[in-house]
Amino acid sequence: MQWPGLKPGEFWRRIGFLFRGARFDAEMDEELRFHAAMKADAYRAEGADAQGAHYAAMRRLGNPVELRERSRDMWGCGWLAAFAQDTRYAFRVLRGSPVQH
Amino acid sequence: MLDHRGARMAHYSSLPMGKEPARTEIPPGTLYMLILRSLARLGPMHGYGIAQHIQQLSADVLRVEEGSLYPALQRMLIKGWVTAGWAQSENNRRARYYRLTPAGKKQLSLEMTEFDRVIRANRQRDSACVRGTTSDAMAGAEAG
Repeated sequence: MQWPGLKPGEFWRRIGFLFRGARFDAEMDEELRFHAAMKADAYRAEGADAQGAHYAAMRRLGNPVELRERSRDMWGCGWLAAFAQDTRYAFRVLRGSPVQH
Repeated sequence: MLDHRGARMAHYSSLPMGKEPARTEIPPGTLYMLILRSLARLGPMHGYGIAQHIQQLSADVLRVEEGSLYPALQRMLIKGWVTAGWAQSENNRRARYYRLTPAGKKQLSLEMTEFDRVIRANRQRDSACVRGTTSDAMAGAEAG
């Protein structure tokens, strides 16, 4: 199976992304935290105090929420991901709220 | 009195959000090539390591927007140029490491060829301009 304009491998990677859900966000957050921590270590080694190093590292990296969203947008299937999220939510609600007679 | 390192840190702390000493921004397409090249040279690396290596490659002239590395890496994962996996880093933190795939090596080769082609074209254009200017000047001198 192949989506028009996508190579087969790329198609299946994008489909796989839809099933990662909240794990994608958690992994991106952890990755950005690691980067900021390493950068802060480097600033501390240059003589900065802990707080100054932390803030300087965060400034250098940028806004983590925005970076996570930009990374997510790269997968280019925002509408499909939102649909999958809504469907999961609908199933959770339906499971928890049986019809009352 | 602040020493050299202290002065630098005071400078970092006084910068408004997102501002850093002036450097040339990396053109968007070039970032992919630099990431691929870093991974080809040094093997699997985490995002921070890639950012540091690019900074060194460019002798601190090019400014790596460190955050913008991550959306770029995601696009490279989609394209299949790299794979990613979690492992312990050199200082015992959990980090995501990126590894070049055969498709990534092929892409690097394509990008390097294209880069060389652009550089050669620019050189030819520049030397043609210089030749044109010189011959105009000589023609002017002869006429005078």
